[in-house]
Amino acid sequence: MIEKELVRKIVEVFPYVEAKVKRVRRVEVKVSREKLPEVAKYLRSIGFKHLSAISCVDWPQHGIFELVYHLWSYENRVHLMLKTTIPRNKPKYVTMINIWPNAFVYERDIWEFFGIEFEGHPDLRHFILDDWDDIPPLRKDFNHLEYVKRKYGVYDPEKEYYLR
Amino acid sequence: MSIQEMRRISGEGGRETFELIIGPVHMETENFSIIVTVEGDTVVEAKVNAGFLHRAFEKLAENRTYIQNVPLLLRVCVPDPDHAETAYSMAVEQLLDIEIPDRAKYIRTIVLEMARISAHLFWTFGMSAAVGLYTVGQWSVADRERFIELFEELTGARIYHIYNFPGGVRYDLPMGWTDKLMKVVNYMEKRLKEYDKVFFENDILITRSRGLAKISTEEAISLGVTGPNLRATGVPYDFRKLDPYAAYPYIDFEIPTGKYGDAYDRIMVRRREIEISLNIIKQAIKELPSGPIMAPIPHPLYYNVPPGDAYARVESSKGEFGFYVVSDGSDRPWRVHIRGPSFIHGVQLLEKLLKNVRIADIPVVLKSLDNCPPDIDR
Repeated sequence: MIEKELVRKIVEVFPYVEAKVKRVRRVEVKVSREKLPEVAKYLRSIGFKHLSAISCVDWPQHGIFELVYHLWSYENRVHLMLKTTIPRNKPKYVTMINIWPNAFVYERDIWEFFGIEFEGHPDLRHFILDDWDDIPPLRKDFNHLEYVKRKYGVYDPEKEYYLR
Repeated sequence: MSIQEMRRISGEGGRETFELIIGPVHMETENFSIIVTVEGDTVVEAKVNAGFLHRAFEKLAENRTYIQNVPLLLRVCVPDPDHAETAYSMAVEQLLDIEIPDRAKYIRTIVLEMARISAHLFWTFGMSAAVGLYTVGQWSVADRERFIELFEELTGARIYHIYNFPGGVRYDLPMGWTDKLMKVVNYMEKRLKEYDKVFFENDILITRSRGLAKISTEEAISLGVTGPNLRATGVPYDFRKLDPYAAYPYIDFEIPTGKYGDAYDRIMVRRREIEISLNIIKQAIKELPSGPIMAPIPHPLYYNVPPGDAYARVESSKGEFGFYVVSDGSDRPWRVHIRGPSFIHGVQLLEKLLKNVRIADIPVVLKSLDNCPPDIDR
């Protein structure tokens, strides 16, 4: 089974990572944020060339943002989720553009929707939400219903217009 | 293509630099615009301006139950909704740890291949309009209608079918439906030869797209390009084979590849995919097993999903379409991340390929990538 072999290999090189097989063709690797760049470089060198996406998950109850790098190896046919956490009160991380060039668009997306700054990213600007004036919208403490009421008002059927 | 605004940036005499805003016009650039800097009529720099169709699916999905999310999330990519609903259903199935019945797998395969063909036929219309050969566009949209009618009979809806559900498919095939489908498949096979004569082997198309906007395999993989755009560079990377789902592991099919990675190769890969999808449908109908169409799910309307996370992907008509679903144990997903193929093809790849292209070739490059701007905005 290629997944088990892969996990064994990764743990051998980096004893501090937490790796496991989730299911067929799905491997999960958890690593601290300081060590992630070197693990990422190694994974790129053993065939994880395709960065499918970078997902960010907000966990306000734990005070963290979870970053998930979805990697795919065309040779081994394995999907690897490289996970790390960053503190919610200090949302800063380093860019991975030098390892996977398409991290450019995903990091800009995460900056826009979660407010995480990526050091070394050349172009962190609003891409989808032009002129956004509130906290990053995919954070759990952003209430979209309240925002709509505040921004556009509530429809009053008797007066037939929107009340601010 | 409509140029809305033209602004002189710099230059005197013969070498002047202008900034053009192309789009957003539906059917040409679709729902996004490109800001290009041109010198003469050659593009120096292109910047994509997206966000006209932002509907905040990822935020809305967090407030709806798993079942309510199916009719929501399939609207991500308008011409190709079946792949989105299947990918989401597969992610939920992974979280619930259920395996769908064999018959549901085969029905899914048939529906997904029909969706691929109708998306490619719709793309044929856009592609033919980009090079000015409108005739074949009229034909392909009319032929797509035949597939849509079959979809309507099967699912009750024309475009947004809401048919693939977590656990299987919603309805069984109606009586005599497969015979009708076979008729359309046979018709389409004959029809493709006429398409070739008028469009795919047409000198106008070949002259305008051969050698245009080339990309190498190495570059394409490092940029995260998938789907026909990657296969046009010469590698048979298809997630139907690599990360198999539905009934694809039981079906024998080949993967078309290009050679040079230029616009014409991308067009021809899609043309041959239609043919191969027709073959897959034929095989799937022949081998269609009997049995249930739905795996037992905890409750038909709402259920708690065990905590965890899952990533499921399908090979849509445009490339890798993936869903990352995180559950915290409640009846609503904690987070849904949509990975659409156009987020790469329509932004980074397009900006790269448009460099040194002439203004008249912009629509050809754009359409040869088969973008779906709604999935950039999400």
